[in-house]
Amino acid sequence: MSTFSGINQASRALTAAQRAMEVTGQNIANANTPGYSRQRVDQVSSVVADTGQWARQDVPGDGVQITGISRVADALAAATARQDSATAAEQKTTASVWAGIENALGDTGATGLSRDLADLSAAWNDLANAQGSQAADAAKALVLSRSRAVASTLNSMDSQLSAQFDGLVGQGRAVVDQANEAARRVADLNAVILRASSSGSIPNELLDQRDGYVNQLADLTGARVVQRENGLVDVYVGNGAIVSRDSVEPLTLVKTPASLSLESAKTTGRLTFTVAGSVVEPPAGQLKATLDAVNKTLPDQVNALDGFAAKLAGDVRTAHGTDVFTGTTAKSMAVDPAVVLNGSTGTSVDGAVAKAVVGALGTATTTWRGLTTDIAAKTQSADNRATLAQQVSLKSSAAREAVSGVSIDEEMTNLVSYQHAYSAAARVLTAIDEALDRLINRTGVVGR
Amino acid sequence: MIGRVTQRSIALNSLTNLQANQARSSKLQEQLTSGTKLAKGSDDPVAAAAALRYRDELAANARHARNIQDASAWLTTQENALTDATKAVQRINALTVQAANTGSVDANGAKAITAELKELKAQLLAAANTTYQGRPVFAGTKDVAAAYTDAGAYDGGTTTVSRTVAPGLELQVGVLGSTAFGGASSTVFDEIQSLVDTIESGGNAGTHLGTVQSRLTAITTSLGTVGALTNKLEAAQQVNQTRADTLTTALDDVEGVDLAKTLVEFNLQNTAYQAALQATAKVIQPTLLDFLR
Repeated sequence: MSTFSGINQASRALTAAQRAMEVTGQNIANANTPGYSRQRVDQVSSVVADTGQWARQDVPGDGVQITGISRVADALAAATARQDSATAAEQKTTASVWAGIENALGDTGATGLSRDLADLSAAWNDLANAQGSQAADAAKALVLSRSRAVASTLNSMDSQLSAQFDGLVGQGRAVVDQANEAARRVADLNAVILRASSSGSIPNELLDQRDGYVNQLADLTGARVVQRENGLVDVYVGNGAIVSRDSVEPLTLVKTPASLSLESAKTTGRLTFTVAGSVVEPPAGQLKATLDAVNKTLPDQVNALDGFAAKLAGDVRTAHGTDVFTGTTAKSMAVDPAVVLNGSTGTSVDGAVAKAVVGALGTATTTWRGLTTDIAAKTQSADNRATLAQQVSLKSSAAREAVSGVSIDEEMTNLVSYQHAYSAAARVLTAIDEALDRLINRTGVVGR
Repeated sequence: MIGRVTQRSIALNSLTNLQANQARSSKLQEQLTSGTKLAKGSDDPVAAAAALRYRDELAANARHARNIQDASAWLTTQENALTDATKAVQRINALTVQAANTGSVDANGAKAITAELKELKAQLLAAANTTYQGRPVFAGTKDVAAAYTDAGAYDGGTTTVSRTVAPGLELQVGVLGSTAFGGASSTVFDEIQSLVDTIESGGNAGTHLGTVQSRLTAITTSLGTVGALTNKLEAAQQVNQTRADTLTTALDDVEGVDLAKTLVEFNLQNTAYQAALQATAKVIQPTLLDFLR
């Protein structure tokens, strides 16, 4: 304990208060930075470590000491937020896939295929009533053009689904590119963080940045994060490590066959993702939704549509006796160019055949109703799931924000108290200064 | 419950809530301007399924209405022809009675009677061959140009025309020519010819009286049948009309917008939105900064 230890103590207090104000400033500066985690000055009271013969009872501590600047983050909250956000991204993509399907096939009766089928039934009904050959010819022409309308509606449904399919494959490629870019950033940041922490500096901002890229990766691929020593992270998609320490193993999109289309996906065509040559299954994220849509949802829908088209063509054939529609899929559906329409049995004019076709179309309409209702219900539940997942994700990111977010009120309060601490420390310094001044300059001059 | 609240989380939450509010407003606004609750099936799959079914039933109902119209025209044509035929056969009956009174008819009178009978035969043939839109109404379902040949032989079919006038209800439309005017065994034309032959050969026309009267009975019975069918058809038409009204109302119930209800909801939504805006403006503005000097 020296004469000047008080000055030292005041100087430490000044430094600590100043550093604390700087950290507060950094927090305020980043109050609205997405992904920023607030920081806090860690300070402890300094102890005088005099022992043995120098130990004394009447000496105060040695002031304050800064031990570090820590980043306020909750790993569990961050991981939960990441996972929920990945699920929300997946459900949102799925909902948009279903919205696309509903746009292509959906039907509330005002427009769409059910309207075409009703028009076709009306045309066949007119043929059943047609009096004389002229009227019958006119009715047949109407039946033909309405049949063509039904066929072309089915064709365009198929091509819309097909376009959606191609769009989704393209989206899968874009997602893979984004994911690989994010993975590269994570690996780069891993390297920088390792260098920074081994040189003793505190890479809080780098950790925030890396969290940002990891979150992006999770949204895209549902990636899983594994914490490693020295603050590094590895990132896994399914079982494939796309980031390990500072190296990246890029995600690859594989189309089987190379010319993957909706047509081939109906049977054996598949979209897969590989890491280092082995297939990985993205557990969530946009990639999983894309994969499900391409490998399952869209082929299922187009198969159902094909089934309907085949049934329609078959039922009309059975009722009519000969082919009116050719083709067994929505894509190949067409009106037989060689068709000779016949409204009645044999040479009579009883209209029985046309009546039978009207009956068959009634059955087809019922089938179609089932199909569109199913699509409507699935679209609605996909929408509801997406809304729910979005809300869950909002809640869990709010939980993360509650831990790591910057509260301006809190920072201002801290700023005020640090400012007071600074002023007070300065006052202590002044007091000691004045005391020493009195000792040094005014002592021993009595009577002068 | 989240312990710590920050300005940013308040701002983000407010934004999300405001957007949800806006989305609800826009949905209601869409319903009000489009007049339908069902812009797409996923808005309400159950209602959409019902709307589809009602529309399909309406389409079927419209088809049946067309069939009823067609059947009605068909029956009216037959009724007119049969009314004409009844008058003609009644006249034939009178002439036969007149011709049978051998004392009062001389050779010239008999000639006049046969001439009129031939005229009536031609008239009956025309009635029996009446067409509707080019098709002989008494020929049944057989595809022929005329129900009776010029010689008076029946050339029509053996099945009556029928129309579907309600789900599963095939209504016979009219009678066959063979029922009214006679078919394979003997037609009204053969009978008139035989009557004419008898009168011309100076025979007793009274022997034909029975045949003529049974023919009259056959034709009036057919007229009765047509009348009964017309009644049935009118009943079917009423049912059809009622059904159309019911279905239209039902369809409107599932997809139409209840204006009063939707407007009230829209206003409530707007009020909620404005309240949310005001609350947000009050909450996100102040910080401690506003109160520190």
